[in-house]
Amino acid sequence: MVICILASPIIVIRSFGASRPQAQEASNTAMTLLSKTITAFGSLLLAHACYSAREHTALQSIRAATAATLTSSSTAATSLPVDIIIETIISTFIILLGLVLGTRPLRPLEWRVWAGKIEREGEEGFTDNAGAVDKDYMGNPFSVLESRPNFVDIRKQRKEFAEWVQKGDGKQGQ
Amino acid sequence: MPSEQELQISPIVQESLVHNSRTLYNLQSLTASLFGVSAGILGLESYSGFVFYVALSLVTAVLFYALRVAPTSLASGKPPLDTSRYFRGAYDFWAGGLMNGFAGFVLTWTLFYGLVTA
Amino acid sequence: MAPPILHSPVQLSPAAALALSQQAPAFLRSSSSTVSSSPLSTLLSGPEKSEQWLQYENLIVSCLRTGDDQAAHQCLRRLVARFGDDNERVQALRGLVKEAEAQGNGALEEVLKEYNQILDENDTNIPIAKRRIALLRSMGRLSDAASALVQLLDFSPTDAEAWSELSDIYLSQGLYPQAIYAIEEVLVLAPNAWNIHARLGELQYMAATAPGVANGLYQKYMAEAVKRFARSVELCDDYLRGYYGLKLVSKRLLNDGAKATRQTDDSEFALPGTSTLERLNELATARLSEIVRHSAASDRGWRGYSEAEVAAARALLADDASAIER
Repeated sequence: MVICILASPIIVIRSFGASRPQAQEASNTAMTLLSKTITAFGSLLLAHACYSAREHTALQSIRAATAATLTSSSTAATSLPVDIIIETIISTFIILLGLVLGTRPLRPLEWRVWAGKIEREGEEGFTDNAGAVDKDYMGNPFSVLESRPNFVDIRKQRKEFAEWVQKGDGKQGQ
Repeated sequence: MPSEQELQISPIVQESLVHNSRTLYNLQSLTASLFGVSAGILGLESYSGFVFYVALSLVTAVLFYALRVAPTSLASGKPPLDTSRYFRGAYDFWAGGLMNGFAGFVLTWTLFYGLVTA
Repeated sequence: MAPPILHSPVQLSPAAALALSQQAPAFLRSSSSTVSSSPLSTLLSGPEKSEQWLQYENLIVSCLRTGDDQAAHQCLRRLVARFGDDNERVQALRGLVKEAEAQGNGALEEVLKEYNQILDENDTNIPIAKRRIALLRSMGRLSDAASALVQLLDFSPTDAEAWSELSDIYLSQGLYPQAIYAIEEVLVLAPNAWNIHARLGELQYMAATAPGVANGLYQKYMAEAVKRFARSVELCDDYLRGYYGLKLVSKRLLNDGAKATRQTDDSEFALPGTSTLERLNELATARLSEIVRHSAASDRGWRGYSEAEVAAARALLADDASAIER
């Protein structure tokens, strides 16, 4: 039964992996949700394993105590049952998978690759797992050297904007 | 390590370097604590605990490479297991987690060992 | 999606500027109008965010552009309330508002006089000095603007933005060598700026193709242009503007090579050989057509280019194709 539950998230991951190229934005949000679900599920399993291990040792000590009073032959403390060991290890891997899936996308190190990514993908290339654009993304950091905001000719911009509005109105009127 | 002249010709983006290292560091410290919990539950002692930690750290690095680095890195023509698209040193990527998360591992290991067996 | 008011709005298209300034009322409502330094209010409303003030600044510019003076004044009032009347950036913004609202030359002279007055009191006020230069240029007094800018650059020679503006002023006066010199200074300050490399290439190309250029000078400019465009695509993969320039220049040089025999110049400015130029041209053509193809299909990961640039690249490629058919 446990195996079935474990297998299901892996299948889910596969299906998400396949649908990725088509709808990246949707799958980005799905990725966060997926990573959180996997981590939560794994944590639940780990907590259960922890509780079981605790109960097991408690049972062991009670049994040892009663055995000591009844037969006075001390039984060696048996190690953890196999199912608890398996549950612990598998839940660890599940959480690990969830955490790795939850990491933020990396950014290219080489200048030309990074600059090319900015030019080619724009802000789409710099999103976190939830699909929101990173706060520190600013496009080409050198574009201010060409737009020169401190030297802006506001009167010209105003005039151009007014012309643009008039043209737009004219188009709508026709 | 590239020479000064090569760095002038094809520079490196410092912000990306910081961003990537921080991402990896966060993952390593989180997973190290997680491994401590499991080691405590399993009741591992002395060397077996450390072996467990080293093995799982390597697994983390491999998983991170497979899920986060490999898709774009292989597409851009880098050989497999080459992390130079996102990280400067291969050693830092594969083995850096051992040092970064060690304290967290020991902390949760002893804590959960005490919780379960005491 | 979060409003992009963190970036400077100067480069935006009119439609984008309109959309941005329409966000102003909502933004003004969402952030508190008064700034107090009492700890209680900090507890209640959280710490102030530094990007908030940048957003106000950018909102002022885009609201003035779209003619929403009321919102601009409101933003300005809040900046004054936070930073005080004497803050240099606030002074410059107030000047900007006055410039935008000025009717006729008399009002502009008045604003200019105010700038002069502020600079008389404190001639290290760089934001106001920049506004003064921009105003001079806007009034058509180009040589005044250029000399004021040179003065400013004497004072702060590491201001890349000012060097870039100087280059633009020289260009509008038709002084190509000076414009090239000024943009080279920008490259000294920002050696990895791929768009500035492409800009320098464009300037060299403009200088080479200007009427009445001697043949030796022409070759020198063209050789430099090839180098600059090549460096810009070396610094940035799939840089449309760089490849566009590279194709333009290499094609022209190849056409020249068919007509006139190449003269041997001094080695520093020697033109690359014909085979190199052909390979550069092929490379640029291949990359440009790939960019155009992906952008037309709006493929994922290729949506960062502006439509106008892609259209220009397509026109250049079509031009090339028709030339071959002929």
